[in-house]
Amino acid sequence: MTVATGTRTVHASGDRSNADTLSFEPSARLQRYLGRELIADPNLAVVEFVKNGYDAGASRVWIRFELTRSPTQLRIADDGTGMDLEGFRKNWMRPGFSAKSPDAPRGVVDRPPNNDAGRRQRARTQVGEKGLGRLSAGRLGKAVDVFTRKSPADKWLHVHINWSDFDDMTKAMSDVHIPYDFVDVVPDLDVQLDRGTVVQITELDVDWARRLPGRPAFGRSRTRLGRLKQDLDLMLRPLDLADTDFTIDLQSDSIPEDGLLGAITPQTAAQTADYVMDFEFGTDRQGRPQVKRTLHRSAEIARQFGSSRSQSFKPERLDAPSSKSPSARPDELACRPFSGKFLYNPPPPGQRAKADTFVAHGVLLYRDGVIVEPYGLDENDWVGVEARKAQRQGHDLVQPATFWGEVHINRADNPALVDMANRQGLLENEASLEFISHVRAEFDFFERQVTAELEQRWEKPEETAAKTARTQLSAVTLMSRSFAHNIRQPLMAMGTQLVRLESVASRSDLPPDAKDRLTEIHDSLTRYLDRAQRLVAGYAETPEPKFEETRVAELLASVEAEVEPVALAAGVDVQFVGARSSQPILMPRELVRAALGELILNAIEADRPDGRTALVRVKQQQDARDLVVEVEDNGSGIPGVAPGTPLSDVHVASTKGRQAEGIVNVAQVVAYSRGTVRVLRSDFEGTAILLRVPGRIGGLESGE
Amino acid sequence: MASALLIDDDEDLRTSLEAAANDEGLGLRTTGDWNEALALFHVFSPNLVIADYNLPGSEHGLRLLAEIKSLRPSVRVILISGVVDAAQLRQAEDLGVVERVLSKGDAVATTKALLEEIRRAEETFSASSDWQAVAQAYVQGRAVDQGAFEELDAALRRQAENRP
Repeated sequence: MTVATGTRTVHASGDRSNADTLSFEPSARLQRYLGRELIADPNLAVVEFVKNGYDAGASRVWIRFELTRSPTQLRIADDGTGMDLEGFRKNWMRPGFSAKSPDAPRGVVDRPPNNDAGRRQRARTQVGEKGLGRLSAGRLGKAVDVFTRKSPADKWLHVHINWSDFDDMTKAMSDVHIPYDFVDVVPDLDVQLDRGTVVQITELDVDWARRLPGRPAFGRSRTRLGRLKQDLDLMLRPLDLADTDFTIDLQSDSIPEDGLLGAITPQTAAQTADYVMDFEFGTDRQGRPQVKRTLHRSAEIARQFGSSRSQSFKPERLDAPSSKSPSARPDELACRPFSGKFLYNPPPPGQRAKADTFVAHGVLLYRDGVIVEPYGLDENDWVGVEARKAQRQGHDLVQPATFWGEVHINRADNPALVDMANRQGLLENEASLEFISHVRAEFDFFERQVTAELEQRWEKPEETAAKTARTQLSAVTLMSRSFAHNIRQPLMAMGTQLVRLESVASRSDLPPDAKDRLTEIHDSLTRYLDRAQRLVAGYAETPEPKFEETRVAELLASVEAEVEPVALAAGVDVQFVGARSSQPILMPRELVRAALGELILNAIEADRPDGRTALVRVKQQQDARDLVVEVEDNGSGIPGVAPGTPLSDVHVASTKGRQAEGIVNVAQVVAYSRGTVRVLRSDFEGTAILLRVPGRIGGLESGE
Repeated sequence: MASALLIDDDEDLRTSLEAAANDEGLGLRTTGDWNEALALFHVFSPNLVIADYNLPGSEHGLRLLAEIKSLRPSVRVILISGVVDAAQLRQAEDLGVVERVLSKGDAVATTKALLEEIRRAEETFSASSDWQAVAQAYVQGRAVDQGAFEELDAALRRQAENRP
């Protein structure tokens, strides 16, 4: 009814309908609505013109703001294919029509000309489609002058549109007459333009240099011009990868912000992101929908949490959700394959990051390499990051201000994902809803991965080190047991042969000399077997990381008894010196015993110059609270190790093989014990290593 | 004939222990395969079965030994292991499935203990002549009939698949 009434109203201004049909005859004001209301953001209006230039095969787009003159002006020029009068009439003057649309009938669309711009135009995927971009000029200023030509041989077609002419709602749109003429020159651009299009907007509606009112948005410039620069950066980013022959040159006679250029860009942000997760939706070989993911960490994050720099996850089938994605997500992929990435820089704990550490946007959506508005721009939270934060009342670990990303779709692979006419999002349909659900589920997955690590940030560093050490010790324990089992097999067989040898050596019919020789061989081999079995036992029966009250004197006596036969076999004089405290301290006794034993065994086996009598000194230092033991050998030293170096950073390239592994174990054990183990000195005269295990640990009780 | 059966996937150990037993005039039958172990057990009916914890063909030695024990409760069963720790060893003994658990961690002591066990088994072994005859037939027959078995098996397969 409303439509009919409206139609009748317009009908009264001029009867153009047949007797038995009605037709829409839009009011001139519709133009104002389209331009002003549908293109909500002036930034996006400028971006629309840039897209038009790109679609026209331009290699360059110039944007010139003249904000200090009166009236203010904005000129957007491109060196694309340009238009003649007929082309302008068919395209520009017909709102809603787009020659770029796949729906455009053949014959209506002009073939790209045979020049550089035409070749570029053919090679590019068209990024505008709805034919609405031209109306965005009405969003920017009071009047627009368009200059365009297809060839240097032509004059420039000049069209002047005064948008106030469309304010009269009683006038039909077709009753607004747009004047045009042909001119020889275009407005000054500092460049010589042979062909293309220049759009000059006069009396700009907004003050592009002014600071924007309201609360500052993290990562967003405080001025509209600054934000435009950021938006253009974002738009260009994927284009730079796909088509390097396209540049936007932004200039203004008023520069509202220092350092506007070179402000944070996605490229620089991406290079320094602590977490980057790439995801790719597609199908497996059987055609089943799946998502593949890889999580990359910065070197600092990997080091801090003991994680790998790059972690590839097993592809997850969407039709068989795993426990890794417990959140509800579609089990199909009607939206078809797409890919994307999430990036996150966790702000330092306990400290608000400065504005320049924040990124400018959320998760952006690109189609064919060109940004799709408004996803991820300004306040748009299509992935639901902010919403999750609100739900959890600030208990989020992924902070929206430093999280960003991009998702890529394309027309060929995702035909069901189409824009709404107003450039304000995807048309809501089954595919787009599913698509958004998938992206949100990916964020959920990403957040859980990141959260699991970042929770450790709230722990004290020594607790984190202890937890990491415990994990590593568990892994070492499993591996050690496996190796121990394998090594015990030949040792068992060797033991059996030794029993046979013993039996032979005890035969009464053997000559005494032979008997003595066999006994000597048997005894010698038995000692080596005992030594090997003890070593293997150390790996097979890796002690439990259990904190117990331990008397230092007893601990050292136990270690001394363990290393004594090895020292004897190796001919090394091992001296235990210093006071042996009977003070009980809390420590993972068995682990510390094993670690100290390992240090001493390494000292026993240290390489020494020929002729030097091997000596190892184990000295307990006086300390009322902690276990402090220095292990000193008179070996040749470890090359390149400075005093104070943590043992975990010492690379020991031993020919004996087991030293390096032992040192790794010692470092892990000590880290787990909240202690330290450092090289006091290492030179040609020998190496001294200081082990310190704290006797009291806050919050820990015996038997934990 | 053998009064004892050793089941272990380590060939060196099998060879060494068998040689050590033979040195002392003791018989020891060995195998590294769980299925063959069952067959040997049925044929020789040994007094003593010694088995490793991890064996190809069975989940682990305990399950194997429990099955053997259920077949003939009077058999003495010893578990040897290079991976089971002291607490687990005690637990295995407490279960009653095995009479004794020995660790490969002390090779000499375990070897001596096993030889002593084999000696005892030999002393108490009272296989009848019939049993010996059956056992001998099994060993010889197996050696001779293996090829024939394969041939028959292949022929039956062809027949089932209607191939010439």
